[in-house]
Amino acid sequence: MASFPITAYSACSGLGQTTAEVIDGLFAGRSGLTPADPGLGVATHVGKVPGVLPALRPEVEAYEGRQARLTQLVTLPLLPAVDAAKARWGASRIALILGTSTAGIAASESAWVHARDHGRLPASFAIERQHSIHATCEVTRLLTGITGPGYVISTACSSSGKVFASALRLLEAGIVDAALVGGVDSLCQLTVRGFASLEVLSPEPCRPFSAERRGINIGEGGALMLIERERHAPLGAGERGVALLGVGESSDAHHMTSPHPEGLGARMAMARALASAGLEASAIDQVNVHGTGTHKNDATESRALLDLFGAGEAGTLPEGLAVVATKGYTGHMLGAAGAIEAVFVAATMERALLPVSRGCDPVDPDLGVAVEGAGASQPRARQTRRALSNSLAFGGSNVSVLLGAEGEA
Amino acid sequence: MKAFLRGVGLWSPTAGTVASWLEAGAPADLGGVDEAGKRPPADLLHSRLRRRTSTLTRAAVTALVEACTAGGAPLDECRIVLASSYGEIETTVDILGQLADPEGPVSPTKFHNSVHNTATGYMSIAAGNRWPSTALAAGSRALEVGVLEALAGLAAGGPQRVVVILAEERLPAPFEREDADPTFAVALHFDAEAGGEACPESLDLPVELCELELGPEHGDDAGVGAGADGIASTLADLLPLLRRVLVDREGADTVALSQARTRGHARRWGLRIGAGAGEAS
Repeated sequence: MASFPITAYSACSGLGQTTAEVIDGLFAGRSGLTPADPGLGVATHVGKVPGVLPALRPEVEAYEGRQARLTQLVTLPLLPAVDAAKARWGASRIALILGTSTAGIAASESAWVHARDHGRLPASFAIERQHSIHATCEVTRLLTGITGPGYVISTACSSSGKVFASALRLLEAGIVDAALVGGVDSLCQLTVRGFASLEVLSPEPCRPFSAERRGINIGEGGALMLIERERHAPLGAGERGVALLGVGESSDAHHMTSPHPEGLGARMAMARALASAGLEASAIDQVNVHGTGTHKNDATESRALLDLFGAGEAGTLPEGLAVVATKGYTGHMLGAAGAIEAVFVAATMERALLPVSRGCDPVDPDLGVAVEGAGASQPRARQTRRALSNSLAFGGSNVSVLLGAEGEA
Repeated sequence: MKAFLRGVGLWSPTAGTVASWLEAGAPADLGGVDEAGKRPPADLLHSRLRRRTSTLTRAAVTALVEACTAGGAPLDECRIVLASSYGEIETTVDILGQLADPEGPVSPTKFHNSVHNTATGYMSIAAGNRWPSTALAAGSRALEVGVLEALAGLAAGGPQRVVVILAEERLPAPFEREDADPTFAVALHFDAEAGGEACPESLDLPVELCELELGPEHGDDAGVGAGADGIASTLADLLPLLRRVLVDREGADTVALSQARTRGHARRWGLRIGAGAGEAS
């Protein structure tokens, strides 16, 4: 079984600009959701990264925009770890694989209006730097000095889950010895008003897996993880490490926006993740669900869980399987969701704590799934050994990332 | 990593198939005409789906089917890797126009058709293909990264068959740029096995991914040069490969998949083609 240690990670979201604020917010049960700017014309909540985003460093100033600033925010804290990896493996032996759905579209929105009003694009706008999907990779490349292969996966809401699959392939093929993976998405009109047009936005803070769920909230932010072939030094006493064990991907082949009614694609992704690591379903003791808070997602994803994990009497999950939904903290970070939720799973393993699935009460009894933290206000002490983290997207693009606590047989 | 390149598909406003491109003398300029009204057939898509789709999606679907038909790949038994710098840019810019009216409606169909993986989503639905697909952007490294991602997947298990699709739409106003690629789609079907007698149209060219020397001009200044964050022409990298595979069958052993000098990159890859690539494993 492959096991590639995660040697560093970072995150920002509606919970805060720093990794510590984000993780502490998760375990404190704090919401990162706030009412959306009335200027958007949509009554909803969003997970907006709070405060003024730090200015870009000179080497990436040309990429000015919210997307680049969020990218820098999660990249800079990892520079020491990336430098150590460069020293060990060589800068060209590290891959750079990021996910985004929005890229810098917020800048394109205002550039379009400027062009309409002035007959030309703003001087500060270049489509390859402000708008393009691959610009997110270039910002991180310039800041880190990684010179290995680099690209951006953009498969809507599964983007930064699928980066783990790409990284695993390059590591297993021996093309690189480490990969900096993750995702960054930035708030913009296109996603908020686009999801509003699909009538899936919740006017209140989203409540995944609740009987009273009313849809999703859009979130922004980013998360990065450094995955290496092996650790530079053994873990210290009391330190718990986390490793990437496998990934599964699938396509629904059903509909552009609706999940397969029986959760077939989600189940296939989870099953393929297990197969890629040579594990049985019984080896999993936590699932971080996609759990958007729409009626359809939560119902079909529950069906997928019951089909894969339900043993004994039909329709019951094993007692030891913790089902955690975290979008009640951050909103749906779309192209960054897979990455930040992988960070949440890693933090869960490191702290031996299971966070409350914020907003799930009262849990929808029709789903047939016991949700972690139902009726609770405090995280529960328990060591997760192996977890799947799901991301399901437009186009029926599904991924499930398998992480494990190191040293757990 | 070894494989067989079995099928190629191509759609552009001036050449609707590989054969028509070859008949025209394999020109470098795939656009060059007024593109309006040139709609790829995309017969794979049911008319109900097709009328909602963009030129990019239709072009990609058209090229996919041509490559898979030539190579003998079932459309529901292959992994698909779409590499594009600007993706569904026409649809996206249409939405920007809708968003400019603060009170105006946004089309839900255009919204879900604006994602980078729109084409792979429709392909999966139309063909009933539940294998993974991916959609990526890599600027000037699109071809190289698409092939890398594809062949690494062959090595990792799953379907032993993968189609890499490179596709762009000409950038629409107000974002038009003379240095950008025209509308086109090219599909390359790689397979762990040769098609053999069962697939008379299969190219069955052995290929092997190989790392190339960067050349003396690279030296220590991998951080300098044009490319990675430029407007990014994928066609410039693609044409030598297409010509080597389809026209000059006795040509050079190795075709580079990216330009020698790209800012921030210290490695690049090529495809060794023909007998030198040996047997696919």
